[in-house]
Amino acid sequence: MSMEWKSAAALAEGVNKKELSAADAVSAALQRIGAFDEKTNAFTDVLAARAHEKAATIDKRIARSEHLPLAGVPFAVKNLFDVKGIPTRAGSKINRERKPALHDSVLIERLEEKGAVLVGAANMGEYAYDFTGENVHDGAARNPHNPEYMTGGSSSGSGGAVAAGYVPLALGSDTNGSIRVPASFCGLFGLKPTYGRLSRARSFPFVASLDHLGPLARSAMDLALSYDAMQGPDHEDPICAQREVEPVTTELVKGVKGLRIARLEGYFAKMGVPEAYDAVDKVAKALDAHESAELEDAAVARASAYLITASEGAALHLDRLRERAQDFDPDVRDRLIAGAMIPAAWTVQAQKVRRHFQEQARRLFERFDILLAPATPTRAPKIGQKTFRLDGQEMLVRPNIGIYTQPISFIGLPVVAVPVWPDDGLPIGVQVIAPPWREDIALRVAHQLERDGVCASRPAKLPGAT
Amino acid sequence: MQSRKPNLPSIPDDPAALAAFIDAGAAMSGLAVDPAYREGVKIHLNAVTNAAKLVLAQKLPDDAEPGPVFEP
Repeated sequence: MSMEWKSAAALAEGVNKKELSAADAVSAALQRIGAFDEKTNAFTDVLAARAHEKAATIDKRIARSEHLPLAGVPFAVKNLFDVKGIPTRAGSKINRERKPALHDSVLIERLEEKGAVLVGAANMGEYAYDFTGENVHDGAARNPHNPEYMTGGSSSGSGGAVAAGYVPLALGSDTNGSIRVPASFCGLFGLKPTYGRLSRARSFPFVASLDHLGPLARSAMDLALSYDAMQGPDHEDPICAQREVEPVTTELVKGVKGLRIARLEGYFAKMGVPEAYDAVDKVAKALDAHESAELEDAAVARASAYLITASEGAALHLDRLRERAQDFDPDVRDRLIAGAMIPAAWTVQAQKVRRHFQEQARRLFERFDILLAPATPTRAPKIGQKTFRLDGQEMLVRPNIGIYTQPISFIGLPVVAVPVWPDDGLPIGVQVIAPPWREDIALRVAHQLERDGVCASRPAKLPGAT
Repeated sequence: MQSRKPNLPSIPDDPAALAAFIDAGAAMSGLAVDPAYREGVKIHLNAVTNAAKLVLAQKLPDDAEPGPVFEP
């Protein structure tokens, strides 16, 4: 297999065995980015000098007989992660005037400590308030499987970079679905861990109540490897849980035997196109899951997430809205201004709903270990598409891509998005949802689905690539 | 959760109230809403109020705890 489609696990194994060097792996990634990213627009910053330097230090560590689980694995981060030496633009025009970051974000430090090498910062929707991957300042990220279509957002370039074969691993953020949506549209595995599991320190925030960080990859094993490298408490993020590392990589082989798995009905079986439900059917059948379950207040949960997002997002950006409204992406600006007007009583009630809905899910998890739901209501829309038809209604694309992801992240449940390919066209994802702090179960299910050939990423045929 | 009794106060379904709300909200937040932004803001605030109607209709006990927990 050529280098671009090797998994992180395979690359690291090769580097650890000295069959290839970290320098080789990083050079191949940089070469491919240079050759093709003009067409996919996944990266906003390519950090070649830094990456070569880091690769050389990894090769020295390997020469000293160190074993590194991510040795020489090139990776990208959404450009809201602090990267030492460049401004953290967070998809905006305004933030790129900031001073260069003095330090890397904590998750970059942890991945590089385990041997991975950062090669660049990835495109994203402005200030992460986006599900499309469009960006008025940097241009839309384009889906490597068909550049006329959206990558999904807001971790758009992170999804594009992995799907294009530039890197096997990228980090994104997920407030309402921004890892799971690009995973669905780009045919990838995406992990949104439990709220509070991974440190958010030194990343640009959006909605403190709902922000999560996590990886996108082309296999469940690569999610697990990177997730294990990033776990652990961090005093710099007050939300980061004081939990020791709970390794999952060695758990994946346990399979799914004995797990009680149900598909979510009700809210999660409305408003989607048939492919969304067919994908869940396919996954449920492969897992021999015949039961169904319902989170009856999912619509209220989604509405509550909507209010909290608009309100906290507006509070974060209020000064910038006062001083530089004209420099925002218009779609983001108008939503944030509206959010600034939300009465406090509304968001307090929304936070109470959050606790209530959490209890509802907890009761459901007494009966089941895993819940299945579509990741997105459709496959990727075309770039620029404003509306789509859902259940016979013409709906706005931008706010409705996340209808199935929002209620789940609202209560911080860990989810692995897994890719299903209905035909030779674009993919669509399924959410594998686990109880809080049980990322291991969701990853085991994803790994089993991959082993059984039900879910897989597919190499994208980039225009001009041989 | 159950919906509140229908006679309890809710959010008025009134375009004039929404317009007045934008004016007052902008003034109190120190935001100058450029006329070119106003239609977009109105569409989004309408979406927000629709979400709020659903959220505020939920009957929760007085001692219901909100989501975030502050640990000193």
